[in-house]
Amino acid sequence: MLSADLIFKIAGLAIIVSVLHSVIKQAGKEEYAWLVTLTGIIVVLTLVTRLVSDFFQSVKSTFLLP
Amino acid sequence: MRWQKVDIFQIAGLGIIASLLLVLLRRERPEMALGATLVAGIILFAAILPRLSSVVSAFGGMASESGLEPLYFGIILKVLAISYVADFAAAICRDAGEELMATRVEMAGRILVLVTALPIVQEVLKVVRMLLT
Repeated sequence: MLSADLIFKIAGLAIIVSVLHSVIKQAGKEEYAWLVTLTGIIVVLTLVTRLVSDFFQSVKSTFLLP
Repeated sequence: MRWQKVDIFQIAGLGIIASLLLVLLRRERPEMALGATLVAGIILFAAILPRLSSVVSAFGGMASESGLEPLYFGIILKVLAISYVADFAAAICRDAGEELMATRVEMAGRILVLVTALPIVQEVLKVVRMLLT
């Protein structure tokens, strides 16, 4: 669960999405650019949700809560 | 990286590197920067939790030696956990610029702490009443 890789993963994803966004925008397809951004956000949200859930579980076990 | 015996150099290094990366991200993709902030915060927080658990078990041993009611120690731990989690969530909200969400989360945390600590307050009042009569 605990690894600093996820920060770099998200940063890389953000850079890729940024590049794709600007390329598609240059090609004149504004609505597809928006779709790419949305997909990136959903992927990040999925990664983060799992981590948050694990984090809450570990807080619970640290403070001996049921 | 070994997280079981984390020291301050690992925490400081991760914090500095994450900050550098976040400065870069925040200009381009603010929403992804928020996700990265959340991940970095969780990793820093969770890295130090195993150290805290040894303190908790030490205090638990002390509490049971001094003959304290086990219920009270459980309440203290619960209050600690509530305040840590509420503070963490409020800091994330504030970082995203949502002051309202941060204050609501903090208020919910305070109310939950009050509700959790109610048995102790009642016990104190009972003792006071016993002393007065």
